[in-house]
Amino acid sequence: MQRRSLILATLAAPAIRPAWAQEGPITIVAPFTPGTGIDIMARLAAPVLQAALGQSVVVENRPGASGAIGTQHVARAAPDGRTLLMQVNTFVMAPPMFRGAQPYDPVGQFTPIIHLTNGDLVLAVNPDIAATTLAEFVALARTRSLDYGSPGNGTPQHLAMELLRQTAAIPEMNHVPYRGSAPAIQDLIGRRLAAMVLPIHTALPLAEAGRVRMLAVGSPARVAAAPQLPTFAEAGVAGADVDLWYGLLGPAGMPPAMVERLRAVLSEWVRSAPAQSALTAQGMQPVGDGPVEFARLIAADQARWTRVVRTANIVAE
Amino acid sequence: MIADRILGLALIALGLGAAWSAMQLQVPFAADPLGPSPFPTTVALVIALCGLAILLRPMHGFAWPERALAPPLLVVAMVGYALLMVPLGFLVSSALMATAVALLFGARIVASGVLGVTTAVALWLLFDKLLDLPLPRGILSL
Amino acid sequence: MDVFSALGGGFGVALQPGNLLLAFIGCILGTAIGVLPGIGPLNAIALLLPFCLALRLPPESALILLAAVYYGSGYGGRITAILLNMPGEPSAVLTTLDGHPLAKQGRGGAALAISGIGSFVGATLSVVAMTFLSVPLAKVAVAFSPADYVALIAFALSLLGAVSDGPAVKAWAAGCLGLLLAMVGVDSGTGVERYTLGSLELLGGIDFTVLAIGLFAIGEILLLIETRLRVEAAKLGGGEPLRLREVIFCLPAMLRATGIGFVIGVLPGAGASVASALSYTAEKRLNEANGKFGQGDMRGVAAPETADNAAQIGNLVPMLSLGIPGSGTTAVLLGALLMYNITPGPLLFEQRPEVAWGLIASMYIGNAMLLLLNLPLVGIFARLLTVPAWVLYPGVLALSFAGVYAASNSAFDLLLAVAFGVMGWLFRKMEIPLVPIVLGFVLGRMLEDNLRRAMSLSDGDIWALVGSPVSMVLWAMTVAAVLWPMARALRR
Repeated sequence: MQRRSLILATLAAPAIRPAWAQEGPITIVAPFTPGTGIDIMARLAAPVLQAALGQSVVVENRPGASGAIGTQHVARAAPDGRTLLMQVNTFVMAPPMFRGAQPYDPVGQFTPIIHLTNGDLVLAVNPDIAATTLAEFVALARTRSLDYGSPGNGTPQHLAMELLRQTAAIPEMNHVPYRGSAPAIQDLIGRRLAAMVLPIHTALPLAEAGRVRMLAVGSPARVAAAPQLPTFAEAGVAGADVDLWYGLLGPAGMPPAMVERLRAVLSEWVRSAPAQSALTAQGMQPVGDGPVEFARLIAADQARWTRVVRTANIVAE
Repeated sequence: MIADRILGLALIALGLGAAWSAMQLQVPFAADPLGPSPFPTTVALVIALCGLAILLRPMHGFAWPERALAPPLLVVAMVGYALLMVPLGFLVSSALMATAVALLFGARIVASGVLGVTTAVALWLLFDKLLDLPLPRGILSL
Repeated sequence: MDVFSALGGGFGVALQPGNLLLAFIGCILGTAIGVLPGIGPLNAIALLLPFCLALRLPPESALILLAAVYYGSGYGGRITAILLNMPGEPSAVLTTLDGHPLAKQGRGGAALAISGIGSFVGATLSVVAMTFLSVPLAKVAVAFSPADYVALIAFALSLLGAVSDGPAVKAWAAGCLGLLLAMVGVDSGTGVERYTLGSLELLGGIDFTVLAIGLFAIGEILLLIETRLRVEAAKLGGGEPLRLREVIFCLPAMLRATGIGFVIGVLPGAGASVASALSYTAEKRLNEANGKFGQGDMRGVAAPETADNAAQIGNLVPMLSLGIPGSGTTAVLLGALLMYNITPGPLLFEQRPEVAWGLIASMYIGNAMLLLLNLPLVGIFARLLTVPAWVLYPGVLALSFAGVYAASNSAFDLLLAVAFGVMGWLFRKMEIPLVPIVLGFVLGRMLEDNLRRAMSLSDGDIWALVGSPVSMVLWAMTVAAVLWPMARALRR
C-alpha cells in the first residue's frame, strides 16, 4: 500500500528532490491520541506532503501530559525536516502549568512553519441548566459553583472557560479534567456536568438532538455553521474571545528553504476546494499563514494564556 | 519455603517504598480533590500487606532450573541484543542473537548459524521492505 | 419493521462483491498484523486510512475494510496467545489461561476454532441485540457516572483472586503491581511525575506491548530453556480437532458471555478487557464443580472470546448514537468517519443510515469472514508448535524485539521488555499469576481516572462513591468477592 504510492511518488518527483536530500520517512508527531482534532489534521496533511515531497510521511501519536511529551520529542529532534509537529493552542497553554522546569519553550525551541486552520469553540450547557443565554449563565454561575469539564488540564477548552470565568467575574467554578473529550461529553449529556466549552462541530449534532444547549460562540464574529448563536462579546462578555488554531512546526533551526517548501505545499492545499469542504465539516476555517505571522500569533497567545493560567492558579489556592 | 519468605519481604519493601514515593509528590496546584498520591499509596500499601501475608504463610518453594546456567545466559544474550541493535543494526544483531538462542536450546553450531542468518534476513525483509517499518541499519549501510 | 429493513440495507451494502473482497483482504491483513507483536490494529488502521482516501473508497467500504482489519488483528492476537502464550492485545490475555494449556495438550487447533466460533456467536447475538436495543441502551450508557465506573472496575479487579488457581493473595499482589505499573509516568491531571525514577523514557508511561511481550513471550522462553535440551514437538500437533459436541457444550457459556460482554461494551470506556475478565471468572465460578479452568477447559476460551466480541459491538452503541467513542479503536474509526465529513452522533442514523448500518453489518461480516477463512487454516496454524524449539523461539524473540522497536524506536523499551521477562519468569516459578498483572495494568488507569473524576464532581465527598443503586450493588459484590477466598483460606 505505502510501497506503491512511494514508488509512484518517487518516480514523479525528481524535480522536487532538491529540498529533501535525506532519505527515510518524515514523521509528523501528533502529541495527542488518535481521533482528536490534531490527529485528524495530521492525517489529512500527511498524504498531501507525501505526494508533493516524494517521501513517505507517517503520523506518530505520542500522547501525554497535555501534549508535552510529543512536543518535547520534537524539540529535541534534529532540524533536518524529518520530524514535524502538529499542534493546537495547547502548545502555548501547557508550559506555564508545569511549575518547576518547563517542558519546552514554545518560542525558542521551535520553527513555526504554517498556521493551518482556525476552529470555533462554543459554550454548551446540559439541558437541565436554567439558562438560555450567556447572560443568564453568568448570573447562575455567580450564585453557585458550577461543575464544568474539559478534555484535560491546560487544554484550550479548559482555559477558555477559565478566561470566561475571569472576564465575567464569576467567583468560582469547579473544573473536572477528563482524559479526552469523550468521557467529558458523556458526563455533560448525563447531566453530571453543568457546562463545557466544545468545538463547534462536536456540539452541533448534540445540540440538534437536544442533548446539549449551545449558548454562545467564542469567535470574534458569528459563524456560518450556527448563525443564530451570538458571540461572547455580543452576549455581554467582551474580551474573552477564544478559538482553536492548528499549525505545523518543526524543531528550532530548520533551514528556511525547507520551511518555505512545506509552507507552500500546505498553503496551497489548505486553500483548495476539497480541503475547504473537509475542514468546514470539522468546524474549521482554512488560514494558511506563513512562519512570520504564525510566530507572532504564538508569541501573543503565549503571553495571553500564561496570564490566564497564573491568575487561575492564584484563585485555586 | 524460603523463596516465598524472600518474596514476602521483597513485596513489603516494594510496597512501602512505592507508598513513600507517592506520598512525597508535590502537587503544584490542585487539579482535583484527590490528587496523584492517594491511589498509588493505597495500592502500594495493599502490596505490602500481601507481602506480609506471604511472609507469614509461605506456601511454595523455588524449583531450581534443570540447567541453572541457561536462563541467565539467555538474559545476557537478550540484553546484548537490546544494546547492540542500534549500533550493529538489525540484521547483524538479530543473526547473532538468534544463533546464540538456538545454541542455548541445544542445536548444533552450524545449524544455529544458518538459522540465525535466515531468521534475521527473513524478518528484515518483512519489516523493512514489506511493512515499511524501518529497522536500524547499523554497521551495514545498505 | 423499519429497523430490519435498515439492517437489511446495511447487509446489502456489506454483501456487495467489492466490499466482500475488501473484507477478505482486511481479514487476512489484519490476522497477519495481529500475529506480529508490537504492531496493533491501531497501527494498521492508521496506515490504511490515507490509502482509503487515495482510492476514493466510499465511507461504507472504508469502514468495512477497517473493521475487517481490526477483527483480523484480534484473531491474530489469539493465535499467538493460544499457541505461544503471547497475548497480542489486552483482551487476548484471558484466552491464554485455558488456550495455551489446550495447545500444550495438542489441541491448539481446537482452541483456535472455539475462539473463532465464540467470537462469531458473540458478534451475531450482539448485532441482533443492538438492532433492537440501541436507543434505550444509549440512555443507560449516559446514565453511568464515574462513581459507577469505579464500582464496576473495582468489582472486575476483585475477581482477580478467582482468575488463577494459585493462592489468592499472590493474585492480588500481582493485580496491585499491575495497578502500580499503570501509574508510571506523568500524571495527566497535575503534571507530576510518578515512579519514573528520573528516566526520560518512562515519562510516557509503560507500553502495554512491552509489558505483555516481556512477561509472556520472554518469560515463557526463559522458562522453556530451563528444561530438556530438545522439546518433544511431535505430539503437539496431533490432538483432536474440535468436535460439535464440544461446541454445544460451550453454548450456555457463550450465551452468558454475550450478555455480559454486550452490556459492558455499551458503557463507553469500560472496554473488552473488563467484559472478558468478568465472563471468564463468572464461568469459572458457575462451573466450579465440573470445570477444569486453567488446565484447558474449552469454556475458558469460549467465554472471554465471546464476551470480547460482544463488547466490541456494544462499543458501537455510544459511538453511533452519541458520538462518544468507547475505546481506542472506535476513536480511530470515529476519526475515519470524520475524514469523510461524517459526524457520528444521534443524527447519523437519520442522515446517513447506509453508513451506520453498513458499519454494523460490516462488523458482522468481518466476524463471519474470519470464521470462514480461519477454520480451515486452524490446523496449519497449530502446526506452528511442531517446529523444533531451537528454530521457533529465536524467531519469536527476534520478531518480538523487531515489533517493539518498530513501534517505539527505543532500545530502552527493549531492555524494559527483558526486565519484565525476567520478572515474568521468576513470578511463574513462584506461582505468582501473570494475568492479574496485565489486567491491573489495563484497568488501573481507568480506575484512577474515574475515581478522581468522581471526587471532583462530588467535591471530595467520598460517600458519592456509593451514591447510586448500581454502585451500591457492585460494591457489595466486590466485598463478597474479596472476603470469600479469605474465608475459605482461613477455614483450612
